[in-house]
Formats: sequence, structure tokens, C-alpha cells
Amino acid sequence: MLVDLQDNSADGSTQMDLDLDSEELAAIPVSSDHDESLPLLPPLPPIPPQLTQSGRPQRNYRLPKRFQDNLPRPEAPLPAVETEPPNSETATHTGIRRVTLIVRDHLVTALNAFGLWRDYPERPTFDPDSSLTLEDLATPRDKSHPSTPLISNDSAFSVSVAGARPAYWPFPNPTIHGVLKWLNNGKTVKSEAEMTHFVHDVILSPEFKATDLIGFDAHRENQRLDAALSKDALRGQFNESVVEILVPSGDTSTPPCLFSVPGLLHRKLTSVIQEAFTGSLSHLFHFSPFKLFHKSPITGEDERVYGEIYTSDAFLNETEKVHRHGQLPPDDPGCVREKVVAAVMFASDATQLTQFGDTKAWPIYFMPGNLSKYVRAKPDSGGLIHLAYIPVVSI
Amino acid sequence: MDSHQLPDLFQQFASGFHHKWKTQKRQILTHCRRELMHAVWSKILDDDFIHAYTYGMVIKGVDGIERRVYPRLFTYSADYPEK
Repeated sequence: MLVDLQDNSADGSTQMDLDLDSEELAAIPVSSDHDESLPLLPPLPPIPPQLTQSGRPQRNYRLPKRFQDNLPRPEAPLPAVETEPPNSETATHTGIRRVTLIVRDHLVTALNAFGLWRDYPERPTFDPDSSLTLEDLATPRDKSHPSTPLISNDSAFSVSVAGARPAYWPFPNPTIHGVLKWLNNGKTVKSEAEMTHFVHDVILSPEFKATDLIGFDAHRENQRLDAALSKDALRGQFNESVVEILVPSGDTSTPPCLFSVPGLLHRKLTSVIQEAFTGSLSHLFHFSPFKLFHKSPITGEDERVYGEIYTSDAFLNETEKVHRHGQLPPDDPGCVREKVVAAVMFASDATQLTQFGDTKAWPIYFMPGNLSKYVRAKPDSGGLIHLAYIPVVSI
Repeated sequence: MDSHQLPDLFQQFASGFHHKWKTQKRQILTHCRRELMHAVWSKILDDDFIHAYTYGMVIKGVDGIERRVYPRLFTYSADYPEK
């Protein structure tokens, strides 16, 4: 630090000398008002070294390396938009037919704390990382300190909450909601801690009204919850289908026969994609692919960093293809919306449902590759969506 | 779910239908499971998805901007049921 300061003051003095040499001055990028102010002021004393209370020079103390905690950080923010990208704005609003002139708005971001930088072939219209907080990137070790989760997993009560519902749905008032929430919080033992929670979170809550509880019956309220959940539950989004397979006869003279396998539960893939792209994690979705690079602090060389779907060459190429050749539907041939790629990832694996017995499920999962794997793979993030359950044909 | 009875039902049917069931049981079952997997995927990748795949689907993002989203399959990780 001290060395830096001396360097700066040395620079300052050379600038003053050069002030007289006009031709050399032009070569040095110095801000002009700085120059003008210099002759008016008395010569600046060198910046005094910072002293401690006892008059000794301040030393730079550094935390030993083993105590340094490199917290994850998002990448450097995108520079603010100075000029609108050439063709997008006018095109979106007026719907002028596009000329096949490809204008690229290539964008490179600054280095972040870890030397990572991004190279966008085209300026993104949306930067999901700008909304990332430290809590999104790291799991606090201290679990008692509540972090703001990516999605509100407030309770088992909030199942795909539709906008118009009150917060205490499906109960008639917030008081009963509070009581039932405590009752169904998963703790089955009446402990002192639980009682304290009950008093502080429920009874002392500003929403608590004793009159709301007149005629209260826990059984009835639980039934109300069950009824609401079963109506609203995930199961309702699945359709049950019969799949038909051709069974060969083993004989060329006998044609194969259709066999119907019942019990395929599946959701509509398009609605699942729609849901993922508008759901509670959609603010973290990447639409614009980029190449991620790491600048080595030692050699200064840039090295490509692979890790996410949306930084992969496959995604970059596909986005390029969709931008250029993505077909427009016949019913909306003049559509000028931005074309983006939804990176669909499927996975499937038979799962043992019980520890004893052989109840099996065979789900097909859907995962959006536009979402960072660090979010998607968190068990409670909701980034992995069940798409179908294949009928189990186990032998 | 009735899927537990399924193997019995299917094997009953197939053993009567395929005249080489006794010697080729394993191969026939493998084949049929492969058929099942393809049948399931033909249900999932329905006409609406193919339409979305070709022409994109308009989705309004959290930033209020509508985008035309073209679904593209990037990975498929599964153990093949025939094993």
C-alpha cells in the first residue's frame, strides 16, 4: 500500500515537471483540471505515513491465510447500457421487417474478485446474477441464523400459491393459520422450546386475535387443510395414460400384438417448461449464453472455464442457430420477440421408495439448464421437476 | 397402484403369445421394456412440444419482457431399463 502511494506522488512530480514541455504532455493522459489546480496550491507535502497512537508507522496487518474465507461472489456486474443495441429496440416496438444485417453487440465484463470474466457474443437483455445475494451463493454454516431462501419454503401450506389467495389460505383467518402451522410443524414432542415458539410466534403475533378462535376445532381445521391440499396438490397436474407396446410373436406369420400398460403418470412438457420459466426461480435463469474465462494472476493468460450449460459451446451454438434460423409460427410471422433457448435436461432413474419392501417409482425428471447447477442441485431449491412416472415393470 | 400386478399380467400374456418364451424370456422382456420406454417418450414429447420446438413458445419473464423460448434437449441421463 505504501509503495503505491509513493509511486503516485512520484508520478505527480514528474507531471509537474512535464507541464512545461508541451509536446510530451500530450502523450500523457492526465486529467486537465488536475493540472490547472496544481500551480494554485502550495506544493503538496508527500502524503504523511499513517501513524499509530504511539507515533510509529502504521503497518498493514493481514489476516493469516488460514483464516481467510473466500466467500463466493457473483461475477462482475454488466456495464450499464449507454446506447441501445442497434436493432432490437426499434424492431420490438414498431415491428419493422428485419433486414438480414447481423449486428453484434459483443460485450466483455470486468474481472471479478476471483479473476473471472464473461464474454457475451451479444449483450444480454437480462442479467440474472445481478439479483444474486450472498445467501444464494453460500449456505450459512450457522443454521440458527435464518437466511433468505431462494424460494419461500415458508410452510407445507404454500403449495404452488396462486396470486389471489390470502397469506392464511386455506384457513378463515390468520390466527387459525398460525395455530395450525405450529401444530403441523413436524415436531411431535411437546417440548419447552416448542412451547416458547408457540407463545412467541403464535400468541404474541400481532395477527393473533382470541375471538378468531371461537368454536375452534383442530380436527376440522386439519381436514380443511387436507381437502385444500388434495385439490391443489401436484398429483392433480399429472395425467394418467395407458401406453401401448407391440409384443412380438416370435413367428413371422403371426403379427405382433398390442399390449396396454396402464399407469403412466405424466405432465405436459410444455406446461412444465412454462412453469419453470415463470416460477419462483425464474429470476435466476440465464437466457444469454456467454463464455466464462479466468485470467491467471501469475501468467495473465485467459483460460476458458467450463461448468454450466449456459457457458457451453453447445448452448452458444444453439442460441446462434435459434437467433438466425428459429422459425416463427404461421399465426405470428411478424413476431419480433427475443429468441432464446430453453436448455432442457432430462434424467430418469428407478428409485426405491421404501427401505423395506420393494415399492419402486420410476420418475423422469426435468431440469432447466438455464438455471445454474449450484441452484438447481440444491435439494430444496425446487430446480428439479418431476415430469412423469413410468409404470414399473420389474421382473 | 396396479403396477405391482403388471409384471405378472404382462408375463402371463407374453408367455402365451410368444412361442419361444421359454428360451428367449430375457430377450423378449428386454425388447418390451425398450418398447415401453419409447412409448412413454412418445407420450411426453407430444405435438404441443414439437410445435414449441419448431416455433418456440412465448413466455413472459420476471422482467416483464416476453421472449420466444425454443426448447432444446441438452442432456438425457438415464439408466437404460433393459439391463
